[in-house]
Amino acid sequence: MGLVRKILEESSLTWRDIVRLATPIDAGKKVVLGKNPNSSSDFEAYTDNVKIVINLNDEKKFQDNFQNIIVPAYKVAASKLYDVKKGISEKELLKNLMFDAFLFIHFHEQLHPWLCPNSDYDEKLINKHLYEGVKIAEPSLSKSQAMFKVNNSKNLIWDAVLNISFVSKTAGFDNDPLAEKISYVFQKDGREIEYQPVLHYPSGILPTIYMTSAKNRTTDIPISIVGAMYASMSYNDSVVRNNAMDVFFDDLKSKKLSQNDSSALLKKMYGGFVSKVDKSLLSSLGIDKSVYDSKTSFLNDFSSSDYELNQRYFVESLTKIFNHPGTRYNSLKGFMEILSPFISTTQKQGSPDQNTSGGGGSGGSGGSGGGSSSGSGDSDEDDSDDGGSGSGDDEGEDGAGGSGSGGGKSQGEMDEDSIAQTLDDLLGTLDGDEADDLLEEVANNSGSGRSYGGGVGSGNKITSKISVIAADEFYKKHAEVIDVKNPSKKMFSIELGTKKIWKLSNSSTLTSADVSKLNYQQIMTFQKATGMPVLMNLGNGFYRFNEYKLDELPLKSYNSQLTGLEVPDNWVLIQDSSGTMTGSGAYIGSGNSFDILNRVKYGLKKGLYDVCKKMKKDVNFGVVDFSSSTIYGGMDSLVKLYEMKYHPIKKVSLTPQCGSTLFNTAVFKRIEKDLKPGTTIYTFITDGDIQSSVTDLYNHIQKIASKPKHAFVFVEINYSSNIGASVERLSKVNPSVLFYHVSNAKDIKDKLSSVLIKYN
Amino acid sequence: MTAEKKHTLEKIASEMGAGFDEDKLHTAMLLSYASSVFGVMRSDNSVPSPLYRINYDTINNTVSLDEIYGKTLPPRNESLSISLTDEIFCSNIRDIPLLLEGETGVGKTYGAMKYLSTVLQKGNYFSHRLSSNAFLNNLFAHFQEGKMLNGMPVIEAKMDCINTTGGGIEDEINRGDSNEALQLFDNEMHLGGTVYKLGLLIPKFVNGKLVLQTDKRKKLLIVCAQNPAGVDDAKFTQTMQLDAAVDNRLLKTYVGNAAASAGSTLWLGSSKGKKHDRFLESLTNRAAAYLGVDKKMFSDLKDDWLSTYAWITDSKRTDKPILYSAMELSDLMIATFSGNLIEYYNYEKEVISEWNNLLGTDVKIVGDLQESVRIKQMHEVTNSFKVPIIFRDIIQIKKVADVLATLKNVKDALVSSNPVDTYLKNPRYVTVREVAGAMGLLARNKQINNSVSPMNAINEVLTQYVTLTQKFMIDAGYLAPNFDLYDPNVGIKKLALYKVLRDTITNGKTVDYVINKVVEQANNLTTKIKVSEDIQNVLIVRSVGDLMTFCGFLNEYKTEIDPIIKSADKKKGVFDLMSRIGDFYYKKLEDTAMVMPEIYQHRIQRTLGV
Repeated sequence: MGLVRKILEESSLTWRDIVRLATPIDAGKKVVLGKNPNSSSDFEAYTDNVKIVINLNDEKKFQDNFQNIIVPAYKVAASKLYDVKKGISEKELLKNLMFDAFLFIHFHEQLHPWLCPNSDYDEKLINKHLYEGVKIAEPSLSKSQAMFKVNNSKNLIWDAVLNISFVSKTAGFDNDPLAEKISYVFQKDGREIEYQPVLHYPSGILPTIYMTSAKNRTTDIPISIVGAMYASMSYNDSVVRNNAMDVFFDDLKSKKLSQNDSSALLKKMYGGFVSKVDKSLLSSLGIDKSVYDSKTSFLNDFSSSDYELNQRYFVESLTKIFNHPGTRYNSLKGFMEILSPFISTTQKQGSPDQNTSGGGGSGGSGGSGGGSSSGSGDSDEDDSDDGGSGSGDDEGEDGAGGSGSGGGKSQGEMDEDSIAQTLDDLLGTLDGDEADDLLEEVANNSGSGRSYGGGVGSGNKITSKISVIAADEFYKKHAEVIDVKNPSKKMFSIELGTKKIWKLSNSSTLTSADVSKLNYQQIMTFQKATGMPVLMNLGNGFYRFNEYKLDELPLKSYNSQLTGLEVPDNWVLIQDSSGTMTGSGAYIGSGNSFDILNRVKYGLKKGLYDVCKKMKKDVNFGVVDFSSSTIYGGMDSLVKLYEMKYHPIKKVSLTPQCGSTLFNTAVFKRIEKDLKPGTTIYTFITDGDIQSSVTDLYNHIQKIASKPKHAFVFVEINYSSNIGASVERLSKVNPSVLFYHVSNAKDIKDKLSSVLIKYN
Repeated sequence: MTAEKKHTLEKIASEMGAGFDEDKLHTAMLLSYASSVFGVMRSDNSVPSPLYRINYDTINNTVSLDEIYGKTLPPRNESLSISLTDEIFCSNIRDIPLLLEGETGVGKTYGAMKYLSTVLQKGNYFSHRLSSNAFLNNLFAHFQEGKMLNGMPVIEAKMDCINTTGGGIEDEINRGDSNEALQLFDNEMHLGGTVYKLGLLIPKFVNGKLVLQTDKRKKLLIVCAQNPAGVDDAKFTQTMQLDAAVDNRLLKTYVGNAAASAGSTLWLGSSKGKKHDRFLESLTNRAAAYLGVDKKMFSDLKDDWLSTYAWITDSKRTDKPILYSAMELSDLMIATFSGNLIEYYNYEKEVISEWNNLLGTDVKIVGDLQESVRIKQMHEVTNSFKVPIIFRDIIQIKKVADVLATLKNVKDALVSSNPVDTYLKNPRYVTVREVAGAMGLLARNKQINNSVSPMNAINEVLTQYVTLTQKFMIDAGYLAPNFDLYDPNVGIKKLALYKVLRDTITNGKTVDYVINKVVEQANNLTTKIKVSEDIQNVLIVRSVGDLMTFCGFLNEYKTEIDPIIKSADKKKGVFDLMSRIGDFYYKKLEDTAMVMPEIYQHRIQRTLGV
């Protein structure tokens, strides 16, 4: 085992000892120390709130980063950082810094669900306030772009809350027990550096992973400036502070931000935390805004003799602000207002936890962790997993780190989950009009969104899924549900379980002496309760003693069953999305035929969903979309489909092709394989002449309709085609074929509802 | 005993002369009793079956509970090991019926039988193995006899047995009748319209004389045993679950198989003579040595044993005060493990809001409790309970905590060079240590099989409680805010009230002043609510709810309490004033029991610790 790996394992044991004492509820949290050979990052860490995964992928690279970047910056005041009297050799300093960095990473992952975001509610409110912060900073930004900025910065913001609180906790501010417990465990374990006891968590560990990224130029502006902010609050020595700041300022200079601009930005960031917070609330926390402004203004004077006092004030104030529900969210809004211009709309910022899911454990998997931002500068351009991006101009530089590998999901899938969550959070918290506008804008963002074409970047891949989610949400919200009458109740017999009945098992003759040993109380109780004779006087000192045993018999009862409604077992919706239905992918809310068709579809789905829930039955549902191509997304439970935010069938259903009107009948063979036994209804909706072989289509319709329990519904919208005329004729001789001609898509609802939901 | 013949205890008391100290005599007898019973059982090669090991870290205030299922472990400092015999011993001296669950042959009944036959003579205990035939099952068989009168079967109480029986074993208790079981646990037997009180009479010293005929009975030592229930529902099986009412009265313990740990040691070792006689001899030798009296004083011990036994094991004698912090932690544990924390939090917010309306105060609880990962972890534990925390569990926590404290007191004394003095000098309290351990054992008993261990969640509440208390200690001016288990003045609400009442007495203030200052303390507590500390937030809202209720109580009876406050004696200090307010509360409760708001009864006593 290599040195770094050994140090990682030791830090893991130490972390658990501390957690047992400081946050015992996490004492059993699983930690997986592994290696991800597919990652380009030297190490990665993530949590799904159940376990912590730390992959040490490249020990040498990790060690080199610390040896070549951190040790040279820290060695000048190593003894001060570790609060020991004598100097520390570079070798020991390296080992100890790596140990403490790993300890930080463990705490970082463990504390995410404690500190930020600590619940779904917390995550939602943070996203809402970040959105508002973006809108204040950049009012001309579209709503969807603002949403993307929120999504791309949220992990960075969560980390800021977490890391600032971590600094406070490890310093023992507000009598937080963590510092005391760390100290206890260090003492218990006899932690020493060159025979000098280490009694507390050292200063300056938090910025290390940000420094290595900055030095290797694998950061973007937000991560580098936030790293500089962490540096401003982490050191107890001005020389080390200056050294660290130089690393960040150099990096920012390389991104065309001068040191003066960076300093000014830092100052604005400090101020941003309180700019949107109510003064009286601040005051109730013991924070005077003018004092805060004054003290934080000195934070840019890295050599100031009062630096540590101001630093402590800053950390303590922010910890208080983040811990109060009345100030927490507005503080982040103000912070976001400053950071927003530097946040990319296309890619996540290079946060150490760019893929960590929030929501109090509701999310899926995490992603790259602390290692990603320390990711050592050799990520190549082809690595689509790179977390880093450009500096607000969407010109991506090499990213900040490696890929996450949570829950077996690809980076792309995790990105999609993340943005879906952001959209959902915003829709749940923004006021009605703002939420509707955002929904419509995202849903109609189909230029790069709901498309099947290739050549789209990862940002567009996200848009594709998100616009489907948005369109789905839009129609769920705006479609009129079809009215379904209440089902009636019918009684039926059920077996509840078993009942026990007494059966005579033995009958014997006892003498008076035998009888005196019996439990009369029990006998009396039994006789009274059952009416069955147990003990009978036979005369002459003899008694009949009957024993019984319990036999089990089925216990029948009756229950009511909802009836009177019937839904099919399979419903296949075949829809025309040619150019006549809609001219573009931006059809949502447009009022064109495809928009109306979707309103009808969702109205029917809502109705069917309600019926399914009431009747405890499900419909196997699938969609075929035809225009230039015939696309089939398979079949799945309608109930499941309706409840899921995203599903491949939804993508087929909501993504028009806007091309010609061709239909490939080969799809019927594929559908047939997916059908469940029982009644099957095909609905075919078109508004034009089918340009491909209609004879073939007609034959298939005829074949389907001839099968038992199958029906084929053909709907023509405001058009009379040859195939329509043929199907109409067929419908007159075959009752399993139904033909409807409607003047507009709206009328389909009435026709279809009676087919899909039958009233007995 | 003839009129002249003195009882053994009385003879010893006389021998002690002017140095007679009933506590010392009892301690010597109790420690001798404990040592002797373990000594005889172990020399009989009744190998111990370790059950739990509880370790309390007094520096960090965390508790660990190892369930060791019969496997012995090397000794560890500061930990309290609990074996099957320890449990029976505690059950014996603390009057808690015991239920042993475990596979056939692991020594449940064997261990219990060994204990009973050591401490009692044959005939003074019973052992019933209940069969599946209800007509042959009779939990009271030992106390009843059937007779045929005029050809009719009648059943009568055996008074001689009732008066001379100290305990018994009910094997396969789950086959017994629930009503009979409940009677037995209540030390009663209902027969033919008469209620017979079971158990031995406990003698008492009156002016140095021992009075044997008292109205107080030592509860029967009841040890029940059963195989683990195959199922948790009420299907008809031979090993079905106990009736919930019966189950809740018992201290339930799973007895693991110690065979692998004991190995062939079981073949070795020997002892001679009757167990009970050896036990009495051992007790005599030890007690005589502890007390410095002649062994002759014990010459009639065998004849006097039943009453001596009842006196030694009288649970009242091992009762011990519960410290405020232990009670407060227990209260907060009960609150946090009682069900949905979010609903509970909202309930407390409602209580505080209503007090605000009534008192015109403005104590704000900002924000709601959210369903965080930690709250889900807590719920995972509470959801694993077969039955939620109920009244009887609260009593059970107290009993088990008491058991743990008793066991620790006895064991700490016996490892010292002067056991009697050590026992008498050592603090004998129920502290947060015992409450946390008891909560662990209780939670384990309540859980369905293979559930998540409750200990991390219990430690979380404990840690949060200690942290919060330490913050209050700082606010109250403690120079070294280290949480001391035995500090009787520590506790969130106690510190808050102490500060208020101290200022009130010093400044000669009125009840309005007290109300305003308690509201200030409540507000001080609310400032400690943090978005990131949701479990601590639950502890805070409950404490604030209690403090506000105290304010409501003061306000409602302002005219009557004001004179009490104004007349507070500076010399007697804060605790005297607290005690007087407590006396007033009890008086008021008695006078206006039907109309006094229920919330006062739920909260005032625990707030004042009276």
